[in-house]
Amino acid sequence: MELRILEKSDINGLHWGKNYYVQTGQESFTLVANPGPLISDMIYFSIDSTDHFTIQVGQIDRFTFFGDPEQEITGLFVDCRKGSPTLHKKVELKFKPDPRKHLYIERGIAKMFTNMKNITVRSEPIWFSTNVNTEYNIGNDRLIVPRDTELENFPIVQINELPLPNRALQVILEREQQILRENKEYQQSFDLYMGGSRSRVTIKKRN
Amino acid sequence: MALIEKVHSSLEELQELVNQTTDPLEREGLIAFINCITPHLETASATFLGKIAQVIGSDISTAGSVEEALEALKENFEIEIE
Repeated sequence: MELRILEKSDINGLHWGKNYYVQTGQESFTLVANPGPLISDMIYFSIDSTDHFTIQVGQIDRFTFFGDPEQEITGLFVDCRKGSPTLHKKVELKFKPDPRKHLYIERGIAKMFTNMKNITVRSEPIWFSTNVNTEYNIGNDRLIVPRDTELENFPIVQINELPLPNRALQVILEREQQILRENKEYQQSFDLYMGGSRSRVTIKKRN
Repeated sequence: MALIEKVHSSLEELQELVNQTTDPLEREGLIAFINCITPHLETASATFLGKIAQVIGSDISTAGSVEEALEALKENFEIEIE
């Protein structure tokens, strides 16, 4: 897949990429999907911050930020990829919403954003499968690390190594739509990384 | 039950896709993907909602330990720990 890199960071695999768009007015834009499975999730933030880092080993994130062009967002990133030359390097990016570019975040890079209130994010994920991460499950591909964790105490993760055909991702999207259409309740799972150990937690909203 | 049957049909579709996938790495990825979905059919809702159920909220932001984090979550969620 062609990467249209606009601006690199100090972590390889974390960069700004150019979106596909046309300018339809002085400050108006129409975006079309970036190359890939053509799956877009729109995420609206009514809260300021998630206040913890999240790591996914099977998913590349591509985030386009929409909102007040004067609102400064801070993104914090820590490279947690096993074998990476920048393992446990931390990068802070300050930026403002701009529909012309997206933030590309490789698998295994911990991410956290602040000052997100009233920001909308277009997420265009790309999933990867694995023959190595035997416990991988798309339903719990979330490792949560508290914000104030010391760099040397961040986990080291093995990322998924196998690409998936776009059609497989679209099948999953169809199932997600079906589940949301037919079921009002579902449980979520994630891993919590604290004090050097990992706990798998499954939660279901109380009625 | 109906949901599980429909999930099975999507798995069948993915298995058919294996034969149509010519890129060897994508083919291997697809087989591995099917293998990692199959054991989780009973919790299919969670499995198939993994991509979009990414934000929990800030319940655990001030916790100093796993125990404190879970205690914070208990207010709003039923919890199971492995």
